[in-house]
Amino acid sequence: MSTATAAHDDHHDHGAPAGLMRWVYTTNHKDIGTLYLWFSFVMFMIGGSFAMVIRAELFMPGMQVVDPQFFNSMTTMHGLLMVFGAIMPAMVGLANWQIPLMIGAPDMALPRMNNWSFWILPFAGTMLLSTMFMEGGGPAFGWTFYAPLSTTFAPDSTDFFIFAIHMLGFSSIMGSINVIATVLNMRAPGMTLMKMPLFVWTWLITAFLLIAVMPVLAGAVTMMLTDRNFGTSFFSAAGGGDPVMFQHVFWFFGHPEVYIMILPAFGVVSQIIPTFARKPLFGYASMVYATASIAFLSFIVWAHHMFTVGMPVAGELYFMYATVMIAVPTAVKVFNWAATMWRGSMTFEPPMLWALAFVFLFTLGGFTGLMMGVAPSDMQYHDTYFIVAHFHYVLVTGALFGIIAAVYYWLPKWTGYYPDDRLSKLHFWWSAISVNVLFFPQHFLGLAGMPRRIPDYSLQFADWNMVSSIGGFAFGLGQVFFFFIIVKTIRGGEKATDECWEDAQGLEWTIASPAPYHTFVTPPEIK
Amino acid sequence: MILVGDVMSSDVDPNDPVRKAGNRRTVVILLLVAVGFYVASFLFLADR
Repeated sequence: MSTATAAHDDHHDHGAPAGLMRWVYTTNHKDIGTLYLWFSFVMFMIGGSFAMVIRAELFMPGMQVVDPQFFNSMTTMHGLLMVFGAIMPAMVGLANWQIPLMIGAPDMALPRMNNWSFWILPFAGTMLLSTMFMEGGGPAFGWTFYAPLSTTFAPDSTDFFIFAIHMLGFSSIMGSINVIATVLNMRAPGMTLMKMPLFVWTWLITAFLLIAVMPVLAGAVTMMLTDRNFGTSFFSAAGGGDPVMFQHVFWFFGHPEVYIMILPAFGVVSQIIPTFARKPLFGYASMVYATASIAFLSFIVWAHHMFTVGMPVAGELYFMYATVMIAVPTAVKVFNWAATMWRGSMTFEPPMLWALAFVFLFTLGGFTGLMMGVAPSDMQYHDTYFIVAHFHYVLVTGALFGIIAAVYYWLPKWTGYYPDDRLSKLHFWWSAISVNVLFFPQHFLGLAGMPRRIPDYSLQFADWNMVSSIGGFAFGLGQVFFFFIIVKTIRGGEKATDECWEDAQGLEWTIASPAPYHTFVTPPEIK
Repeated sequence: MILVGDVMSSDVDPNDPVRKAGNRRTVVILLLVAVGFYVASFLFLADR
């Protein structure tokens, strides 16, 4: 066995192949992680430009920039691209890069499937974007694509949207199978489940969530397809179906989806805070159980998105109590992060700044989520800008800030260079201020009654919309600056040490910076 | 129980053929779970 292993090692003792085909044929987890991350950045920029159109139109009352149909298309495509094209692939990219490095595995368990999972994405993304150039325009029914808006009253391009969603879901399912197989089968000797880094734990749980809910989303869009083209009436009241059932099926997927986007970010923050507080993570086991509890609860709360459809009061009460219960494991996490920092020797390098902003601002988004989880008050907030403010605090200052924190944290390991400290801090402060200018006023707008998904509004909403738009343009500009920082880091800078951050714990810090093309061909021994 | 045992044991050498069998089993089980949820989403509506 040892001879065979040595021969095997010799055979693979080479660097990355050259040329474009390296990226097409690659089965290397680092290459595929890089592809995922760049793909998600491109989608983030396109989805972000759609957000700029939305904010430009809402800069002042009246119709100025686009027509209402196109505005609806912008809100729809912005949501779809950010959820399925930016946040989810970015998390998969981080998983691809980091999970094998953190558990001491030579690669993902299923490298060829890994390649396929990625290469589905650009085609699905392009197909989704191409709908905007089709007759009748792109999907304009919101990212939740409620029937009958997405069936009876949708443009022809919706069939391409359905195919794209099927492909994206297929890619996600394969990606999550790969993560589960890798974590369960490929851990280095001695790396027991309860020794795994939190990022790996959160991703393992996320992968199980994905496997359970992506097929349900696929079921929903398949039913949409047959309703649209093959005479079925799953969601058509005229044919004996029920449009409200679409909402049930969609949110059975949609609510766990929120946690699919945020749990890996929890994992990232749980890696970063101990490093820069120079203390072990407080309450490791409780963090694992809290993550699992959140994942379980995420399956049984979906109808809190539909309190206004006319559910029985008993149903509303059940979904309200179950929803509010999620605050308990989430608070366990927030208190554990605070306890980790307590009396730590804290320093504020860029990853820590983003992680701290995450803790403060995600918690703010969590609190507004609690407000909506209470059924009677949700009747007031439903379909207003308050909801828009809430989920952008959760997904932008939560999931996106988590991703940016992760990029700053692991970029020295990936590239061999530290990001420019001054520019990175400028990026942080610019983004942290502008994102609050962008989203905080939307709470006021929502509480004052401004409905979401509208291109025009009453005069009383004018001032805060203008403030929000200014924040939006500033935040968008800040992310172009992020691109500049990343490219600058890849091209050179201060050389990173192998450890990268002082006294950082974990297997990924034991290998060279930049990480060699092949790592842990001989598994490390975990004590 | 099929996931427990050799597959979940951290004593398995990542280069061992046992791992590959474990990977195959994991893929099959997880794919079946995914197909199960897909079919269930239709049954959920068909029941009405």
